[in-house]
Amino acid sequence: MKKFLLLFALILTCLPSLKASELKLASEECEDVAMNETILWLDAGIDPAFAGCLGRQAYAYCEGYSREDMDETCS
Amino acid sequence: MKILILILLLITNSVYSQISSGKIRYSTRFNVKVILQDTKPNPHLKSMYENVEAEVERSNSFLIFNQDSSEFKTEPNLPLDKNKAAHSLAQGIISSGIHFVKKDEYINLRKVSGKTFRIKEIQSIDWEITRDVGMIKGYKVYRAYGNKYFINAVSGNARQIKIEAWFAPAINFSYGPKGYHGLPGLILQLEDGPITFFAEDINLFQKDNLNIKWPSEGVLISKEDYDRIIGENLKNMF
Repeated sequence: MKKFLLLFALILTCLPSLKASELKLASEECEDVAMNETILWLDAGIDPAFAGCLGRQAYAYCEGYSREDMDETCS
Repeated sequence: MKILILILLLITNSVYSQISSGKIRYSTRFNVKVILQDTKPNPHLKSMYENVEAEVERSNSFLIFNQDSSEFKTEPNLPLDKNKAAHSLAQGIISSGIHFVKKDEYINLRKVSGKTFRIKEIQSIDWEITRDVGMIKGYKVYRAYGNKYFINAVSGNARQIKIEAWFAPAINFSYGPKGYHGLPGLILQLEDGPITFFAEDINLFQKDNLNIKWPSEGVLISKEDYDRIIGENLKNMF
């Protein structure tokens, strides 16, 4: 029982930092997704302002933003 | 018979030589595969690409020209309810503002974050005219190829895009969609990377009744400086 409580306490202590670390990883991954997307569209000759908008869209998709939030990225 | 053909040619040339202005409507197609090439698309972005393709194909672009200059822009249409972001993206992808051409001058007028820029473009394309012949809307057209060179504003890599144009020597104006110019005839079809423009309606006038107001508003900036400023902002965006 003591072991179980100890394990439970350990999980509770670690959970917030685990979540923060996952969030950080997700965010970094989304930054890469956005930058790659921007470069891809720039390579195709798309104007930088609109390529950037596509990059922001990619970031928003990756982060799971709502449709309304995503609309704001290019308005 | 030979004389008749000669007379017809003379009449046709005489009619075309009297053209002093015109208005062309272009439809557009967007091929996202040109951009993605071998890249595995992010599944999250697939629906966005489809929405942008749909919005591009719903849009119309117009070229008006006279003896002095030309103006090219995309007609704003109402976005589909689900496609608001894709709608504004499509407008930008097709035309990136309004393009004005006058002899050797080329200005791209556009708004970025509420600020108006007059971007001085240097788009001198060395066209290679081929013997390939076709017909577009009753006009005999010739195929020409050119290359557009530019620097990727974020990666800094030099890039090159092949441009394909079909132009009509009978319409003796060296203008075309999206500021492309310099051919001995009006461009009726143009492939510029992922975007292709197709002339749908051709209206030519014998009186110079289409006025084009050369832009004077906004900050005058070179294309290189514009790309550099926007590129710096993009690098710090994420």
